[in-house]
Order: sequence, then C-alpha cells, then structure tokens
Amino acid sequence: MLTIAFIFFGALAIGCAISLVAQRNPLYCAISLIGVFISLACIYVTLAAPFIAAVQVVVYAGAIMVLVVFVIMLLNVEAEERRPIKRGSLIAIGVILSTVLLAEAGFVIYYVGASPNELAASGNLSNVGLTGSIGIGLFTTYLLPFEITSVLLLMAIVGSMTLARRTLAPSEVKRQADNVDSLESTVNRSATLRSVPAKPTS
Amino acid sequence: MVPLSWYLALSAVLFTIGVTGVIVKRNAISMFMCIELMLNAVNLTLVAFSRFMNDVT
Amino acid sequence: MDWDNPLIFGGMKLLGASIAFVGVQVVVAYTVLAERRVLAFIQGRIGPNRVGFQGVLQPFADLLKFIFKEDIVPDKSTRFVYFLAPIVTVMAAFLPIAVYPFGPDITLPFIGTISLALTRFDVALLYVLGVTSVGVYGIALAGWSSNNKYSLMGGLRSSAQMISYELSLGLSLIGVVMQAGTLDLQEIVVQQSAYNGLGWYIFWAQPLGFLIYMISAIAETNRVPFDLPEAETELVAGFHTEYSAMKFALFFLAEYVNMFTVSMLATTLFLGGWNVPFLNLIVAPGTLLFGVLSALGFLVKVCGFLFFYIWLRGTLPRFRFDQLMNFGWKFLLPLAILNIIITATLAALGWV
Repeated sequence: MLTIAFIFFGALAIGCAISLVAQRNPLYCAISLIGVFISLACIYVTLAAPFIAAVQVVVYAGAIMVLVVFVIMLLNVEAEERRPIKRGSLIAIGVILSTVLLAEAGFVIYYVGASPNELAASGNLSNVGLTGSIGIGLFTTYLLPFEITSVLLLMAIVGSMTLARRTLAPSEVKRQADNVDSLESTVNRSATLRSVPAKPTS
Repeated sequence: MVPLSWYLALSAVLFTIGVTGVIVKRNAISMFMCIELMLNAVNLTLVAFSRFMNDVT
Repeated sequence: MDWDNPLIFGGMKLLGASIAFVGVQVVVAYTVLAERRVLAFIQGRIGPNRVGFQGVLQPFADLLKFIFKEDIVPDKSTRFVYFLAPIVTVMAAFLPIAVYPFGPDITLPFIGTISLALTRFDVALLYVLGVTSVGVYGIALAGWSSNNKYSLMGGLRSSAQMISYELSLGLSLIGVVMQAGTLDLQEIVVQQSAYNGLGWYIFWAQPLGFLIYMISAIAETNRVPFDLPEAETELVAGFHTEYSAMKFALFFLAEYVNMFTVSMLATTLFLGGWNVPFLNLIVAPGTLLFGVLSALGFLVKVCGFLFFYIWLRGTLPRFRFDQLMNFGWKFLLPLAILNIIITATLAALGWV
C-alpha cells in the first residue's frame, strides 16, 4: 500500500518537476511547482510525518506560491524565448558531465541500498513526525536556534518594508501610509480599469 | 515498507531537475521556483532520514 | 466487525464518504433555497414557491437548468487553466469534510464500535487550514485565465482578501488549540463534553476567539459584508464573470460548501461539536440513539450558522476595499494576537 502510494506520488512529483523546467509560460511553471509541493506532502504522509506534510501545504502551497502567482499575474511576466545554443561543443560537455553525475548518484544510492546496516524503519509506531514530538524538540532542546530564526525572519520583514518604502517620493509616502495594503495599491495602479469606490479613498 | 534508498533517489532526481532549471531558465521568477524545488528535494532527504533513524532532529 | 480486513475497512470508509458527500450536497442545495426564501422574507417578497410544495424542488430545477445551458468558453482564455480553476475550487471545498467529527463513537450490537467521523488523524486542524488555503488558487486562476479585466480584478481582490483574513482566522484558532492541547478535531470535541456537554470553548475563555473566527470566516467565504470580489455594481460578477453552465455551477456549489465547512469548523471548535447539553443524563452515551441525537445536534448548530450567514446578507451593506483591508490588518490581526496572549496568560495561571 505504502509502496504504491510512494510510486504514484513520486512519479507525479517528477512529472510536475519536469513540466516545471519544460514549460515556458511562468504561470504554468508555478502550477507545476504547486503540483510538486502537494505530491511531496503526500510522500511525507507515507513517511509517517503528517505534521510536516500539513505544514508543507500551508506554507509552500498556501503562502509562498500564492505570492509567486500574484507577482506573475501583476507584472505580466512574458513567456521566455528559446535561444539557440551558439557553441555545439557545450552540448557534448554537458552530456558527459551529466552522465558522470548520474553515475555517481547511482553508485551512492546503490551502496546505501546494498550496505548490510541499512537503517530499518521501526514499524508504524514512529512518532517522529507527530505534532507533539516536533513541538517538544522545537521549544526545549532547540529553543535558541528557533528564536534566532524568528529574529532573522523579523529582520527580513523590516528590511523588505524599508526597501518598499524608499522608492516612493515623499508625497507618495503619506498616501501609502493611509492606504494600508501596498498590494491593493499595486493592484489599483497596475490595472488599467480601476473600479470607482463609493467615496474617494482618504 | 519503502526502503530509504528510494526516497534518496527521488530526492536526487528532483534536485537534479531543479539544478537544470536554474541553468536553463532565463527570468528571475522561474529561477526562484527552481531553487524552491531544490530546497524541497533536500527537505525530503531530511524527513526521510529522520524517519529511518527515528530521531526528530 | 473485523476492521483489519482491508476490504471491509475500505468498503465502510467508501460508504461513509459517499453518505457524507451526498448529505453535504443536499444540505447545500437546501441552503440555497433557504437563502432565497429567507432573503425574500427579509425584503418583503415571497421568493421561489412554485416548484413542488413551497418550492422544495427548486434546487433540482436549478441544477437541471445549469446542466442544459450552453457551455461557453471565451476565445482568448487560457484553456487549460480555465478548466482547471473550477476543479481546484470544488476539490478544496469538499476535501475538509473528511476530518470533521459528525458524531461520537457509538457501539452497535454485532458490528462493534463505529466512529461517526470519516477519518481521524493527528493534524486534522492543520489539514483543514492547508486545504482551504489551496482554494485561493482556484479563484486567482479563474480570474486570470478568463482574459477579462473584471475577472482579473475580482480574482485579485478575492485572493488578496482571502490570504489577508486567513492570518487572523488561523491565529484565532490557536487559542482553542492551546486550551485543548491537540489538533485532533474529535479529541477537541470530546474535551468539550465536560459539564454535561456544556464545556464549550466559547464559554470557557474563548469568546473573543470565536468573534474573530466568525468575522474572518465570513471574509474567507466572500460573503456579505465582505463580498467585494462579487460586487456586482463594480465588477459585474467578479472572478466567475466568464464562466457559464456547469462550470459556474461548480463555483456556486464551492461557495456554499465553503460556508458549510467553516460553519462546521466553528461548531466543532467553539460550540462543542456534537455535544448536546444534558443529553448524557437522558440517553446512555455510546448507544445508537445517543449517536443519532448528537449528530442531529451538530446539524442544528451548523444550520444555525448558515441562517446567521443569510441573515447578515439580508441586513448589512458592503465594505469598501480599503476599509476591508484596514479592518483586517489593523484591527482583527492585533485582536487575534491579544486573544492568544490572554489564553496563554490564563493557561500559565492554570485557570483553563
């Protein structure tokens, strides 16, 4: 049962990943990437890690990719053009290098599989991916790294805010402060057809 | 039970596709998405190892 | 019964899933009818009363109409995404139903213990949040792929609104999770059955969380007074302007199923789920009658919420977009954080 699920979702993930690279329209790329994330979440379920699977969907599919899709829609990113490769020798080098890489990876994976002391999964009783064990690990043993990561994230938020503010002219800043969500103002600016609110804003 | 090496192989394949994407793609957003793919491949390895070693960290 | 036999297990799960699926659709169909009748009552009209006795067959007539309408695809639409969007929306609306506990575990003669929930697992609440957040794509992609300015504006507004209010929605649930100490929905409901089934979290330290949840849930489902994405005076019909026939019906269905699922989540987390007050004094817990009455109690609570939605629609005017965003980010989000702090303080003092 687990094997079938693994093969199915693994194939789905690889297919979506290939489509991510092959597609030229950025929005199709984004949809393929969402497919990869969701199939990876299902694979985490087969690894008895439901918490990580749920967080994968909430954070990656639900938050990060929504932003990417927004950016693609608002900036109207054009489909990229295929450029012809100028030097034929590059193709040969690339093929040789990738064959070597593939052989190396196959070698490593074969020996991980064949080694006598391969780590055996301990039945279905594993509580590794459960909410409780992750929470205890996060808030007791590894509290300091966790806090440092939070501060880092806060710095990233503040940094992006300052960067977004700096590009505005002083008169714009006042207006921006009134208009709380910069996203909405972007929407209004970029859309040619602006809907007229009942009363003028601010 | 699926052996560990399968997960590692899947992760390796995804990572390689991600690398290819970063090299091939031209605009920044597509490259960013391929980097996300590589990150996720690594995450898969981490989760698989933590499952097979029975250790959260 | 032998639950280890995969055939019996799978068959029972399939049966349960089918019952839940059809049941939800029937409830949703009659919600639409009830909405039209109640709105008509509020506005001093009569409402649909011709098809069947007092209009009870109206939902089926509507469905037939949708099936027989012509399916129009705009010429310059992005085909694949245009077809994908309604599917994503409907799937994201239906998937959360799998984890809600409709009733308690009951013990039947010859059969054994049956759980009146389709499935139960460790991170049910996070699963619900994750699946709901995927629903944003359906709307954003529908707006984008129609190749229409009104649709694009509607889709962007809608998804911006959903991701803004998802934050306060998620934060308002943290109080309950802190109090219950689990993300398993069935476990949360069982914990609320203290005090003869009156241990509802809305009474025990979470009234503020409930208020925040209700407001953000209404915004999540794009209902009045937060129905800007479908503001027909400004945007024709929002993201589904270009959709017709069954594809439109799917969006319509998804909206009402979403209403239903957020009402179920509110009932489960704040209003005690299937707990009917003092029922355990009258009927012995664990019997079939107890299970049926509890499930009925759950349904009644959910229907109360659905009525509340319709009531709001008949009463309130619409927000302006900047008001909506101001309200969500500057008022609701700090309030949700305040609720977490209050709950944490109470928990630290050992009062909850």
